[in-house]
Amino acid sequence: MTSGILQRQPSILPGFGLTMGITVLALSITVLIPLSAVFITSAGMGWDGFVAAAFSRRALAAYRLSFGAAAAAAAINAVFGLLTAWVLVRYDFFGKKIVSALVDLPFALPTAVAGIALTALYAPNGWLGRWLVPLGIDIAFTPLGVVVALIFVGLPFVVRTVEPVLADLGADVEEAAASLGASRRQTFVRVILPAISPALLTGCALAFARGVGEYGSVIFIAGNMPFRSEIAPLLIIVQLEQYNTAAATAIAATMLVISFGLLFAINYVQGWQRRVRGI
Amino acid sequence: MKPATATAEPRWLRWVLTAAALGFLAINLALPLAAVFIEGFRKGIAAYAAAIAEPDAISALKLTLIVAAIAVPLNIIIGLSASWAIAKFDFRFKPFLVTLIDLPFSVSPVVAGLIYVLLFGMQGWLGPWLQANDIQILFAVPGLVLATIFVTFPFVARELIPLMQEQGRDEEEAALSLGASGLSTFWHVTLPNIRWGLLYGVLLCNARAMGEFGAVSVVSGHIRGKTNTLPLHIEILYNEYNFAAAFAVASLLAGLALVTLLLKSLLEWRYAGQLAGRGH
Amino acid sequence: MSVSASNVTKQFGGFTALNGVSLEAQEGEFLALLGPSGSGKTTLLRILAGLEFPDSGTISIGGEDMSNRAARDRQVGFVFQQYALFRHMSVADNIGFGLTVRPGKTRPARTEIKRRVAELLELVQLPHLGDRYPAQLSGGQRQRVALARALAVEPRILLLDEPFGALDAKVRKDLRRWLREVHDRTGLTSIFVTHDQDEALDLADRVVVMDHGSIEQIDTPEMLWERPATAFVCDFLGGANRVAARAIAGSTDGGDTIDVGGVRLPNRAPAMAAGSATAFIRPHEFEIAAPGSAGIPVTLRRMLRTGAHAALETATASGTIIEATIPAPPEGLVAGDALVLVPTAVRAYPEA
Repeated sequence: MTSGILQRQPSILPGFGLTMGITVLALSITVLIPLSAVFITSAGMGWDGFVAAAFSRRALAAYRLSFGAAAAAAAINAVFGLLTAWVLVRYDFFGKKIVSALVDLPFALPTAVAGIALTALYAPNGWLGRWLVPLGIDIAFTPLGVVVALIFVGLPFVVRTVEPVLADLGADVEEAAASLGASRRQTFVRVILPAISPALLTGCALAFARGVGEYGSVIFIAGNMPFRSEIAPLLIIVQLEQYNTAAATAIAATMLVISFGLLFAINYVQGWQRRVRGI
Repeated sequence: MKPATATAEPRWLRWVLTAAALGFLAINLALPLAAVFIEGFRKGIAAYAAAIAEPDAISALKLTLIVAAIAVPLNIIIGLSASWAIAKFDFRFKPFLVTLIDLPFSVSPVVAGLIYVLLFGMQGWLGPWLQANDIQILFAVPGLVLATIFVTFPFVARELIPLMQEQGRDEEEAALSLGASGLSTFWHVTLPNIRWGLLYGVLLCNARAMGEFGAVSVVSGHIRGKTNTLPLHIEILYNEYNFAAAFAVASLLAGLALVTLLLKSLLEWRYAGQLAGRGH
Repeated sequence: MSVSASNVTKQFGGFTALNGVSLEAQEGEFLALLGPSGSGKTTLLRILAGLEFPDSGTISIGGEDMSNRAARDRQVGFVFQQYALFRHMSVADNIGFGLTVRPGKTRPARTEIKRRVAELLELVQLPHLGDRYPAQLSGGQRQRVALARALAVEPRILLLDEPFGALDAKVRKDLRRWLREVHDRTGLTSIFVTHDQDEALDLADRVVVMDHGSIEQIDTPEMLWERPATAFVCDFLGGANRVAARAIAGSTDGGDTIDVGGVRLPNRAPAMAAGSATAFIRPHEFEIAAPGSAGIPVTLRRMLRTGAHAALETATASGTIIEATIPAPPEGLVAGDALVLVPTAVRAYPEA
């Protein structure tokens, strides 16, 4: 029986075999076997074939855009996500509950809806575009548009990761800093920021990981010009539509490896965070 | 002037920071949301109603509901199973299993669609066999459901695992020692303790299931009136420059998002202690 | 450096935390703020530190008005109940923090900071733990680090909020003695908050007893123990039995006389007007006598011998429990026996 091999100590609770069975079966059918298809198919392509497809000039440009824009958006979200979390935790203002609920909008709003809405705003004749374009700031249909979309989808990751840590930060630590002669700025830079930086880093990594794979909110605003504003997930679709499944798979495999590396890094940071914060 | 307390920022700074945060959120979140509704109604209520009542829109709505109605309950079963096994038992490879459950969060939705093409597509592993037996998975409801389950896989389990770990297994053990059966212990002891957390997870799972775009875009085949879900229908309308109709249909999904946010916030305010990680 | 608070009032919402409190600590004095929770003692300490500001009243340190001075400008060392150490900094960095945040000109050189930190680690008897992180230390060690951190900035006064509150009994006692030593060595005017009367009486030069935002008494431990100013103080110091009594005015030594069940004794508490009184009698301030004598007639309920002494738990006819400790109980005393408790000393206050 599974419970005999897997379980460390027997439990009187029933259902381990059943629930474990369902979990592993579902995981295998919907996630693991299909995902392994990517790697097995890639392996079947041979090294040269794989490299040619996965690292073509067009693919490299797409990775650069996907990763670069995701990094830029994560950096911007680090600042504004921290600011938002700070204001939500520390200050009181009218409508705070509504604002707090709104922060989760990107989690709830379908990406395609976000995509067309952002495009409507930033297109040259859009609500914001009509003011920005004359100033020489082209956002829609440029790499900048990709960044704007990824800021939208990534924001709640940062806010929701930082918020609880900021709330748990004891007032006494800041008071201690003040009574030791630190200014408010010194207290923020030397006491508060180091205490929340692991959470901030985790939040940014989550936002970055999400941004790298994001598709729906980006494709409407990006313009999708090969070599310029074509993100890697879109390139996969383009290859699929041209019945070039092998190339699509090679690009997907490359992205997966990088994503899993990120996942591993996030777990590592979280473990490190626990160790440093102690107890 | 005496400072209010030792650790508060001066009033002007609080003001500036609050204004900056609210301004950022207004431009980045509120404005896009408002744009959906305003653009949707741009050509008037009649055009709005026509866009929504159009047969293709109706069939997209139906398909979206069908896919969610299959994927979400399956996810509840999987999520409950996974969290029961992980939270209530001690076994080898537990952290690894948790990582695997979280895996779909770090996979691009497009890749999530692609993997089913590799399995069930014409050149895929099972493609020829499926065709020989006349079983349609890709470009049909089963493919949409599979892709949806993939992208929503972690939602329920992720909410329930920490919650059930927090609650331990004392109550279940007490019930069993009092002679309750396994199923009735789950039904009468475990479920009441996790119901709000479960609802919370289901809410997010459902929002994602109905709104998923990238993954279903790959597996649907975009057959108008047949395999288009609402988000895919929006894309087609938009690409045909039928903006008002696209936004009208989009406003349905935006409405769903608002309802989701409202319910989610209500759960957070009223049952904070009974949701994972929000108990303090 | 002397410290004084005069007429300090503080409200939180509708709750009056401090109600016109005045107090003065002399240079080099070790003062305890003692009281139950909600008595305002921590609020007073935080106001002295500049962590809160009073609604009215003034604070001065070394004769200088501090009322509107921010915490960072007061040069006050503050030790928090939960230590409030910076978790991401090593012990040495925690201790050196106050020196490194000083503005450019007054900031000591790096080597000087290092030297000061080493010196302080020595003082708090943790010389080898400079590289550790707070999470790796025991509670007692953390509190020592917190103290070293507060002392590093060479504060003019030292304030400690329930410094032993989060520690277990054994560590508490050791640390208590050690803190007194540190105080005597540094000569810093120190004020600490506690709700433990033993701690206050054991450690402080003078004790400030507070209740409901007001000061009940400020006195040396001896005077506090011998002549509690109010019934609250006497009760809070603990252990005393409450007995109904009567005050008789005009006794021989100028004070008042208290009548407890026919036994008349001079009042050790401040004089009070004639009338009904509540007498406080400590367990060791009883002798026992045979039934029929003057005193408090009781029934013995339980007797516990501890070495030479015996602790008696007795009850009056109305059921009031009275505890008495006597040196040598008569032989053959068993539960259920009737006897009379004769007080040898009494502190009485007007009935509340």
